[in-house]
Formats: sequence, C-alpha cells, structure tokens
Amino acid sequence: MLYKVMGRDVFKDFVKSLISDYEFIGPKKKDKAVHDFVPIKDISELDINYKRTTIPPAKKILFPPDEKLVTYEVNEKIKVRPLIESSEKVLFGINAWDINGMNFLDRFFVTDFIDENYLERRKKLIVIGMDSEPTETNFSPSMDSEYAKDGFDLYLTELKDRYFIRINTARGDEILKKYAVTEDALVKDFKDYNNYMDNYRKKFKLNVNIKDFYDNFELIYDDDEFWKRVAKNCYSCGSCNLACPTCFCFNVKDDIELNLKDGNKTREWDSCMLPEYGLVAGGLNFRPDKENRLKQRYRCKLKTFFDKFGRYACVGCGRCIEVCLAKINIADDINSIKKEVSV
Amino acid sequence: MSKPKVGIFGFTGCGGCQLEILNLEDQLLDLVSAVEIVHFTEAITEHSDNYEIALIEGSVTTEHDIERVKKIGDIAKIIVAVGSCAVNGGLNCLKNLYGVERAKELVYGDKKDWIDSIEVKPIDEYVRVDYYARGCPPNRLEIVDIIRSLIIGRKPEIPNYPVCVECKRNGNTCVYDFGITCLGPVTRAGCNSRCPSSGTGCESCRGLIDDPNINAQKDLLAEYGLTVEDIISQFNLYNACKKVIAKENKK
Amino acid sequence: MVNNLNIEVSPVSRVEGHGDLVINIKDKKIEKLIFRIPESPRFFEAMLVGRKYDEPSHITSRICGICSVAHTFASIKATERAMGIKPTEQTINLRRLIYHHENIQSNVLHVYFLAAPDFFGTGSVISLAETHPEVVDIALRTKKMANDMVRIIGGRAVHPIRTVVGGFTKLPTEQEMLEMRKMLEGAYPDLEKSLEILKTINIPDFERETEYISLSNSYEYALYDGNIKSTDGWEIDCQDYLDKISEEVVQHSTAKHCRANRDSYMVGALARFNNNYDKLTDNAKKYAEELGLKAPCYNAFMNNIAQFVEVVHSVDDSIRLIDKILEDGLDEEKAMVDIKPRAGRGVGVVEAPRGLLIHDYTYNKDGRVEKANLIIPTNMNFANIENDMKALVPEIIDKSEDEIRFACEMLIRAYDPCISCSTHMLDVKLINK
Repeated sequence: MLYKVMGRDVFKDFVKSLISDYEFIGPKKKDKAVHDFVPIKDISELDINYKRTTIPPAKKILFPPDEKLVTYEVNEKIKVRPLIESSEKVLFGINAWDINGMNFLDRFFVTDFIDENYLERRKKLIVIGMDSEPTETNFSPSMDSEYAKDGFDLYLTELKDRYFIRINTARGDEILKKYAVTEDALVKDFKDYNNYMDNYRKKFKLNVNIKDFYDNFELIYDDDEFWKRVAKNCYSCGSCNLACPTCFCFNVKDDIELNLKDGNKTREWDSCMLPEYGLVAGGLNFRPDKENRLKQRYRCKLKTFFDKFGRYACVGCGRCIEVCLAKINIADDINSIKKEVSV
Repeated sequence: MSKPKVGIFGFTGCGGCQLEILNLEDQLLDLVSAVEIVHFTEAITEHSDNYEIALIEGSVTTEHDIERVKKIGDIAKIIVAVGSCAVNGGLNCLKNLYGVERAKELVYGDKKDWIDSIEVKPIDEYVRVDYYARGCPPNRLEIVDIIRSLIIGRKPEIPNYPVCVECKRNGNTCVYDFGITCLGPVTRAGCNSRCPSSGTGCESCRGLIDDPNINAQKDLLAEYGLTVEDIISQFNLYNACKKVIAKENKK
Repeated sequence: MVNNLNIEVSPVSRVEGHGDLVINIKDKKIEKLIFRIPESPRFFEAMLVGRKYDEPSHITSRICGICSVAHTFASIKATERAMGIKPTEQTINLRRLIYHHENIQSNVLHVYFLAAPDFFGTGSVISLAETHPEVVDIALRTKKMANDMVRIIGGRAVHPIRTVVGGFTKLPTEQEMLEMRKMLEGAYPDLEKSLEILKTINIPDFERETEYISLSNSYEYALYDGNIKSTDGWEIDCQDYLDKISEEVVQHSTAKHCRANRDSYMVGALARFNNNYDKLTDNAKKYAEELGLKAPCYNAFMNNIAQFVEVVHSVDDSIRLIDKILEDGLDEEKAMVDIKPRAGRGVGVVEAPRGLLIHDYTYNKDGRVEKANLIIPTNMNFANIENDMKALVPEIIDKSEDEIRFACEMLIRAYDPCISCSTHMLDVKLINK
C-alpha cells in the first residue's frame, strides 16, 4: 500500500479527467432519499455525498440482475456462442462495506467454479473507493466492514482541505500519476486520517453481538416458536437477498425466439426467500415455509460462509433492514438470539 | 412439424389484450408464421372453428357468453386465459359488488329488462384453463412466452413470486418510501414491475401469488393510514371476484 | 339486381364483438334498417360509485384498450375540474404530446390494419402482409413509433400508468425526449410513402350532409381541450354538454344513442377536420389537398383520409411540443400539484380517436364518486351510421347483393366505431324474398 495526498482543487480535475477518458460510474441523486450508481457524463451529475443506494453498486455492475450468458442457433447443428461483456470501467465513490461485499463475491465466483463473466468484468473494473454516510440501520463495524483493506485500486478519504489516498494496485498508481498531482503522505496526514477514522466510526449507531451467534444459533435452531415469531410478517418477496451486496444466487432461463432457431440462456438474480427456491424435480419443496427459509438465510450468511471462507456473508450495510416491508431486522434478530439463550 | 392452429377470442372487456398482441410490432410477423391464426376477432375477417389453442380475453358476463365459452372449451385442446378479465374477472367484478340488478337500473333505468347481463365470472368458472397470462393489460412478452412454450412443448414459466422481486431487479426505490401504498408484496410478478417503475403503487391487476401474506399486507396498509374499507377497496379493484379478504377472514 | 332484400345477422349465430346490421328492403324501399351492437354491457357508471378520486382514471381507461389514453384524460380532467385542481403547463404539454400518439396509433391501426384490407381486396392484415408487405411494414413502423411514445411518456402503451390526477408520477428524461424527437423525424419517409399508397385507393363517391360535432379552440387543432362546437353554428362550454347532447336507450343495442340539434350527428376525425381545418399544420393541409380532402366534407368514407391527415398533423405538432417542453426545461417540481379532495361536479371532455368523449363526475366531500355519466363517441355515431345507410342503400340499390353488402360494411368501418365491432364484422346474410 502506498499513501499520498491530493489537494481539493486537484481532486475536481482528477475526476473530470476520469469522466472524459473512461466509462465512469458513480453515485447520482435518484430521488428524494436515494442515490444510484449510474454512468456519469458530466461532473455536475456526480454526488459523492450519498447515504442510501438500494442496489449495491459493485453487484449491479459485476453480476447484473439479468445477463445473457450464451446465444445459440439451432440448424442442422447447434451453434453456441458464449457472451462475455467486458469493457473497462471506473467505479467511483463506492464505500468500504460495499467494497467488502464485492470482495466476498470475488471469492465466491472463483471458488468451486470460475465464473468467466464475473471475472472478466471484475478484472476490468477500476475501483476508486470513498467513504459515505452510514444509515441508521448500518452495523458494518460489528461485521468488520466499515474499513476496506483491499479490493480497490484507490481509496480516497476526504480530510478538511485535502484527500488522503490509499493506493492498493499498480493500476491505481498509474492512474493517479497520469491524472493528478499528488504528494507523499506525511506524519501529519496520517494523524489527520486517524482522527478522521475515529470520528467516522462514531457515526455508526447500531451494534450487533455477532461474536456469540455462531454457537447460540444451534440452540435456537429448533425453536419453532422463535422462528415463527420472527418470520410472521415475511412476504417471501426476496427483497433482502436482492438488495444484499453478498447474495449471489441466480437462476438460468432458456429463451428461444418465435422463429424457433435463435435462442439464448439468461441468468437472473434469484432469492432463497422465494417459495419455489427449494422446489425440486418431482415436486418436492425442501423449504416450503417462510420460517424455514428465513432461518436458512441467516445460517448461510452468518455460519456457512464463516466456515467456508472465514468471513461472514454479511457486511452489515443494513439494506435488508431498510427494504423489508415486514420490518424483519437481522441486527435485532442476532441480538435477540443472544438474549433468548441467556435468559 | 405442422403449425398449431390458434384462435383468439374476445369476451367482455376492453379489447386491450388483443391490442397488446397487435402491439407486438417486432414479433407480430414471426408470430403469424410460427402459428396459424384461424380466428382473431380484432384483426382478421376469416374465422374458423378448427383450432387447438384458444386465447381468451374478457370475462363471462352474459348468458350468451356462457354458451360461447363452453363451445370454445369443447373445441380447444389448450385454453389460455389472457388478461385480468379472463383470469380472475378483473375490473368487471366491480359490477358484482354494486349488485347486478342495481347496476342495470342505474345505467338503463326502466329499460333494464332489455339488457342481458349476469354476475361477472372469470372464464375458469365455466371451462378448464391451462395457462394464465395475467395482468391488465397482460405483458405481451409473456403471451409470446406462453405460445412459444406451447409450440416447443414445455411449461411456460409464470412467476409465483411478488412484484418486489422485479422492483429490486430494476433497482427501483420502494414506493412506500414516498408514502405511496402498493400491493406489490402480495401480487404475482411478471409485469416487470410496471407500475412501481413508473412511480405508483401496484394495484394487483395480476392477482395474488399462491401463498400471499395477506395479514402482513393489511397491517402495512393500516400503518400507512388506510381504513379497513380502503384496504378492501384496494384489493377489490381487480380481484373482487376472488374475495381475497373474505376468504382470509374465514381462515 | 334485387327488389326485395333482407340483410341481417341473426342474433343466434352472432359472432363475438360484431356489430349487427339488419336491412329489410321491399320493392326497392327500406322497410327496416337497424345497426346494433351486441357487445356485453360493462356498467362503468355503477363501478365508479364509491371509488376514491385517484381511481376513476384507472378504472375508466379499461373501457377501451385502444383509446385508453383518451378515457384516462377525460376522467382526469373531470376530477380536476370537480376539485379545482390546476395542473402545470408542463403537465398539459406532456399530456398533449402523449395524446397525439394514441391518436396516431389508433388511426394507423384503423387505416392500415382494419380499413386497408378493403382497399386492397384482402381479408385481413395477415393476408395483406403477403400481398402488400410494404404497406404492412409502414403500418408496423408507424404504429410502433406511436406506441413507443406512449410507453415512454405513459409507462405502457395500453392503460397508461404515469398520467394521474394532478400531473405525472414520473417524467420522461431529457434524453428520452430527444430520442422521441428523432423517432418522429424518422416517420416522415413513411408518411410520404403512405400518401402515394392512399392516392391510389378508390373512395366511394357518397355525400350526406349532417351535423358534425367536435372540440374546438382558438390555439390548436383541438384534441385535448376546447369547447364543444357544431357545424350547425352552435358552440358551448364542455360543462354545459347536457344542454345540447342527449342520450337514449334503444332496444336493439346495449349502447345508447345520442342526439343533438338534429336526429343524428357525426363525431371523429372527419368532424374535427370540418370544424378545425384551419388549425392543421401547413404540412397536414398539403397532405389533405393531395388526397382530395376539403373542408367541409360530407362523405363519411373520407373519414379514413381525415384520420391519415391527422397522423401527419400529430407528427408535426409533436415535434413542436417536444421543442417547447425542452426549451422550458423538464422540472420534477412541476410534475405534480397538491390535491385536496372536495365535493363537486366536473365534466371532462376530450377528442378520443373516434370522437367526442365525455366524462361527468360528482364527488362527495370525502373525494369519492357519487354519480358518474359517460358518453362514448361510438354511441354518438350509431344514429348517424343508420341515417347514412338509409341514404346510401337506395343510391346503390341497383347493384349486386355482394356490392351492397360490401358498401355497407365499408361505410360502417369508415366510422371506425370501435375496434371489436369495426374490424371485419358484418357476417351479413342476404336473403331474397
């Protein structure tokens, strides 16, 4: 890791140059309360002071909601053509927990199988991170995710009159050299950065007792009453999964054109909360109840991948809490499992 | 492979479903070469009683409709109900709520006996229906998908999950965030979340998913200031024939 | 040659959605002539009772899939009038813009898909696609353009979503406005080709002067707004429509018949053309002239040509509107105005593709509908269609049965009465007595 600083005036020109030279994706105000990461053509559209985004930016770009995987042509022989879209893009302004969410997906999509589509895009994605304001439902410090150690090319932290820059890749270093005048970070810069981080961490109000979850979960696992209570209002709508930066499940659909010659296979985001997720050939559904599905989601997020990767499939961004119309709250539930067991 | 013969029939409705088929501009010519359309009320003069697949639009609202729909049921091997009116009665069912006799009197006064009109029912009250292309209007691409699936002999994939799924895939901000109520959480997707994507709440024109959490939806609407009357009224707009609330209360 | 003729569609064998025509001729004189619609009645006036003020536009758009935008706006205008809601200029301009495209879509559908097979002697648009593929291509392209415009502005082509009481729930982006402008520019070559095609068709030579009623205003070719105006010389505020227009239930049809000054009147493209010719764009006037359409025109068969001239006008005027909207700048703040439900009565009148469309609502203090009255253009034309037929049949009584039947079908189709009854219909049986 290299450390540099950049003046505020330099920052603006730096961003402008990136916008003109790259396909540039950054936060733009979408409506009253929400921002969205979209292609930016002019710096006036960019609004880095964002708080909420419905869909995690990295997931949206690297693992789009629906994606054509192959096209095929049925004649005497069947011709299949894989589709791998890959153009170089700058993802600008993504925050630490969403970078950590992406880091999870990075690991998932190359473990057990290599997802070429994901990987091609990921290689060509230049990631420039920046902190953003946490929402009230954000508990990323509890999940060790409010700070990103890697996964980015550059990470810019806004200090009073300058930006503190962490350079994580050679590509990041080159871009910085090409587009901005910077100076090496000095002791004072590190001091200010530390003060900034201390204050930044204070902005997160929600704490979650995740440490005790791993064991206690097994005790509560068979407590049907508990899960019925938690899942009572669940719509089985999948919003929690679809808005999650680490959820990766997808479904592949086969579409053939009306000419019965040309077709394609498309994948789309799936969700383990939908009733038909557990439906298998022969008509058996191994998870027919919403209580079962919710319980399984918690297990996947907070145990399965902790076992497998040594990290949670949850970065504490709080999106699942915000999008849930049934007010199901993973943070409350983790804490109440601790309480249930302690009482 | 011989082309399947398709008949497209209109019952009581607005004709919008047949129009959506005509609105398949880009695929219309492919469609008429993939199947042989032998009967299409809105578009062609020739008509024949020799068809394997019947697409039926509209509800059954007259004695004459009953006769006709049963005849189609006798002929067609596969019946697809197209659009809310055919699938679950749709808006037409508001007439039942008002009362058939009362409605006749309101609109036609002392001439009401000249009018043939009975209680509105979806077509599956009279004939077996194999597939449902829901919505008001239905999603024309879903109609194509059903026809295509029938040609190649697979089951059409009709979603059994709520509109919320499509809203999230489309990256929409939930309309509840703007204080707008929405029936999306209990309504069957497949419309590509058309209404919420346009900044307005879902009215459940596609009807409910198989296992909707009606009680949660009621709580949610009440929280947004709707009275019990408002809630019933919202559910009834397209689903009055299905008596969603009444059914739930009996449970 | 026939002296006695009995043309009828027996109610037993009626085919769905068809209008029925009964003509009995004895000694070359018409004894009985009835044009009827056996469409199942819907009872919208009853469905509306008790519904909240934001619902009628969604409910009434379902009266007709093909003119759902017209119903939506007649409904919205009635509600806005009843509650004293004043939408912004931006809203009105966007409404005018989307309105043009329902008109284009409907007119193109009628001229090409429904009427053209007559002119080219094919049974349907499907066989037309085999004999005259270029005509079908033009029709599909123009229709798609209009539908895409409605999709962009309204959220979908049938039963628009974004158009609501008080404004729009979502605005098109500037980018989309520019795309739409490009689509419109791209429509001109097809309009030129259409002109050449339409020049070659034969329109029957038939004239019967009647009363022509449409909206009219001082500033544009009225589709969205105006007073109700008649070629008989009267003009009234929409709110006073009951002073002039009355409806009656007739036994042979579920649709009511309408009367104004005389015992029948015509509405639709030809009526609009006769009342508002001078408000057409110069380009549209040029097309009219080339096709031999002059105001006033008393030949109902020319309604098809008037519809096409309107398509040209709507394309021209849409470009003007887009430029105006972009010049003013799209402003989210102006998308909606505040709504305070209150008691009151309001009448909303628009020009649906088929003519004058009237929604009349009375609201109670909770903003729920107490009473609704809807007058549909197709109903207005029924009596006039019958009168035209009574004039036409004696003129052609010396022709063959087939020719008489065909002329009657064509006349009814020229009125574009409503899609499900105008298409092809008239499975006419001729019985010589």
